[in-house]
This record gives sequence, structure tokens and C-alpha cells, in this order.
Amino acid sequence: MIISRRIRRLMAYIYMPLIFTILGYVLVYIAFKPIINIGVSITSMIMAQEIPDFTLDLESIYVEPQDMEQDDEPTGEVPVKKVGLDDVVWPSYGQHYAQISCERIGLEAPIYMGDDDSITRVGVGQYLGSFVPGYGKIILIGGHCTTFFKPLKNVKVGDVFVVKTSYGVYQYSVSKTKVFKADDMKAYDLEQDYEQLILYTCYPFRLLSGSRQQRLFVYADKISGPQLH
Amino acid sequence: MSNKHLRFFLSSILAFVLGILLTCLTYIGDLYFRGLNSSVLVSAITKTNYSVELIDAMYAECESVTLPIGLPIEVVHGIFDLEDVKRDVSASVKASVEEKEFNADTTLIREKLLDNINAYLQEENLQLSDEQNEYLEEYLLLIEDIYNDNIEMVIISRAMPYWNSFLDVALVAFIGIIILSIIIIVAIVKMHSWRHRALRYITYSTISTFLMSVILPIVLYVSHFYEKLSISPKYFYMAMIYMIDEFLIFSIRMGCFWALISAILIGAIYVCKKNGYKRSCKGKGKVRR
Repeated sequence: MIISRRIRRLMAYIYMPLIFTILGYVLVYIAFKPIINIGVSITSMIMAQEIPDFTLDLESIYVEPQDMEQDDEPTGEVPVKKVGLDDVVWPSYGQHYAQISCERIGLEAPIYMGDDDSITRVGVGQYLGSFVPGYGKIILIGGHCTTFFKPLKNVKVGDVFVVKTSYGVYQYSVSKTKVFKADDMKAYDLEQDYEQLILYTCYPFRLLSGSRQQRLFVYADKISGPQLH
Repeated sequence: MSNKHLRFFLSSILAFVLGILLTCLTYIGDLYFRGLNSSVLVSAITKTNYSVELIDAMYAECESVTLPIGLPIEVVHGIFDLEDVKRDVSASVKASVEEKEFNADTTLIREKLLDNINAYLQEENLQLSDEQNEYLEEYLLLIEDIYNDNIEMVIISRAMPYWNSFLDVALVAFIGIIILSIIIIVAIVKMHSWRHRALRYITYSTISTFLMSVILPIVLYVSHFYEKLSISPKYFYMAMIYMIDEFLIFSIRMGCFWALISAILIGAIYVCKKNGYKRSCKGKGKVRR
């Protein structure tokens, strides 16, 4: 009897605090449930699915296209070759997926999907709301006038830009150039239903020319390249 | 209900309430010592390579604004000194905690940048027009703004007024909780003739305080789920994770303090029981052995 009383008293040091702990948590949960729910909602908004990865991955999915049907002199005829959409690896944001060049003005640059600062430092960036070559829509690409798009200051109507992707080679002939204000939405139409390559860069090209509120737009129409279907 | 059962019931309730109060006291203490105070923030900055990563981020931002104006990105290299950045970040943090403004002295940065630009212009044999000099001044101011914007921990600056208000309330709560706890302890002691019985209930409280203070921080620390916080840039994220880690470790230590108190109380219970200490004793009445 004495032993069992002693054991009971010793056990009380375990079960009493445990009961207090459980009751305490339950009481706090019930009493502060609205605040806890708000806290959980806020927490879920600022929590990601995984630990954030801050490494800058500008990876490349570009592969030199096989069986390049590139003409030295553009014929003006659109070839009938078609490429299935399933055969195309769609570029994600930050991926290098194509190369653009213009021999006459000495332009050569990698094309990345996306156009933030980290991309335009290493290449030219495609606006996310535009489309890939061959899709039959607008391809909007921007770059710095002091680096990769510096040669654009010598561009003329009739110059040919070659865009090489993993699924085909495309040629575009410059039809016009125009200077717009940086925020002028009339410079391009994302809804247009014909394929056009539009390159844009800061204007004017000279050193320290102020806050550069203008943009040079170069419009080039498709000459050749496979159609995506 | 007999007196014995009533005493047990009331003592248990008081012990439970005491446990809750002591737990609140512990968490308030944790927040006060390991929350957003300047020593914790400065420690987070020095221990996590904050300044080095910050300098890299500032160089990237400066290069981005340098590219469009035609200058080579090399003109911004070497304009930020690590020791100066550390000093300015610490000063900015201390100013934020005191809810004051802080503007760093960017004279040295401007001089280094101008030297680099002039060296480039000389090398390229370029002369700037008045208009270009005007835009050069705009560019220099932009770089200075980048520096001042980046050395400030904006989230901390914005949170400090609320945090300081919370601390004012917490201090009042802290004092209130201490007073209430003393009242409850006195009530428990007065309810029992035998001291060891009173101490037993107080021990239940301290053990439950240890459990309540320790379980939650341990679960959070072991799971590391707060590492999924979606905050940027990287240097700020690392500093915040470091602060949360330190807070949880401190909370666990504070919880263990209650385990120590509980052990001391259990020892005291043993001594009181052995010597038959009674509250009404002091030479009066019989001492039961």
C-alpha cells in the first residue's frame, strides 16, 4: 500500500504535467483559434513548396539544328516543312533556346526566354508574352544597345536575320525600323496573326545619352523556316 | 466533496494556471531577448556572410544600370569596400531598431566610381559634352541610391514600429504575469499545511512549463519547415533563417531552465518530506515524521 502510494506520487510528476500540457495547448488553440487561422493563412502565403534555390540557372536547351536548310540568299518563298508541336522542347524562363545572327551588321547573340537583367547581361531576351519562331505569331526580343544589340545602329531595310533553334532555322528580312517612346504600346501587337520578328533596344546609341526614354524597333518578316503545327 | 478533494481540485487548477502563466513568461522572455533587437540582427549579419552576398548583389544591380548607358560594367568594380559595407549595414540596422533614418556616406564610392570612369574615358580617348556630364551626374546619383537602398533592411525598418509597440505591451504583461504567479504560488502554499505538498503542485507547474516551452520549438527546429520561407534576396533569407534558428535554440534552453527548476523543487520536496516541514511549524505544533 505504501509502495503503491509512493509509485502513484511519482507517477503524478509525469501524468499531471502531461495533462496540464495537453490541456494548455487545447485551451490556447480554442481561445486563439481565429488568430491562429489568420497566422496559418499568412504563413501559407509566404511559404514555398520547397526550400528556395537562389542559384542563377541560365541553362541552355539549344542544340545546333540538324539538316539545316539555310539559303545564303533568301528566295522569298516559305518552305512547306512542318514540325509537330510535340517535337519541340518549349523553353522555360531563363533558358537559352536559340541563336540570332545578322552577317552584314555583325550581330550574333544567344536568345533566352525572358528579359530580366540577368538575361540581358549574357544575351538577348524574348518577351514572355510573345511566341517562338514557326508559331506564326510575333517574336519580341530585346537587348542592350551597348552590347549584343549594338550592331542594330547599322541595320537597314532588307537585312536578313537568321534565327537558329533546335527544331529549325528561320530567316527574317527587315521591312522597317522605327523609334518609339519606351512606354508606347503602339510599337507592336501581340495579337497579330502573322509571323514577325521584332527586335528592340534603347535609343539613341551614343554613350551617356540620358535616361533613354526611346526604343528602336526593327521589324522583320519571315522568309523561310519550318511551320509548327 | 471532502476538504481533501476540494483542496486537490483547487490546487490542480491553480497549478495549471501557474503553468500557463510561466509558459507565457518564458515565451515573452524569448521574444524580448532573441527577437528583433539590434544585437541579434547584427549577429545575424556578421555570422551569415550577409555583407559579402550584399556586395555581390549590389554589383549585379550596378552593372544592370551601367550597361544601358554605354559604359563598360568594369567601371563599377571595386567601388564597394567590405568593411565599409559591414559598418554601414550595422549602423543602418541600429538606426532601424531605434526607428531613426540612416544615410550612409557615399563620398568614397562616388570618388572610386569617378576615377574608374575617367580612367576608361582616358583610355578610349573620349571627351564628354556638357549634356553627357549632366547624365553622368544622374548615373552617379543612381549608384549612390542603389547603395543606400540595399544597406537598409526594409522589412525590418517597416516592422520595427509594430515590434516596439508589442514590446511595450509585453513588458506590462511580463510584470502582470510575475505578480499573478506570485499570488498563485502563495495561494497554493497557504492551501496546504505540509510544505512538500504545496511544492509538489508548483513542481507540476514547472514541469508542464518545461514541456510547453520546449515541445513547440523542438518540433519547429527539427522539422526546419521555416527554411521554406519565400523571402529574397539570398543574403536576407540567410540572415532570417539564422535568427529563427537562434530564437528556437534559445527557447529550448529557456525551457530547459524550467527542467532545472523542477529538479531543484523535487529535491526540496524530498528534504521537506524527510524533515516533516509544516507551514504552521516554527516551533509550534507537532512535527509528523
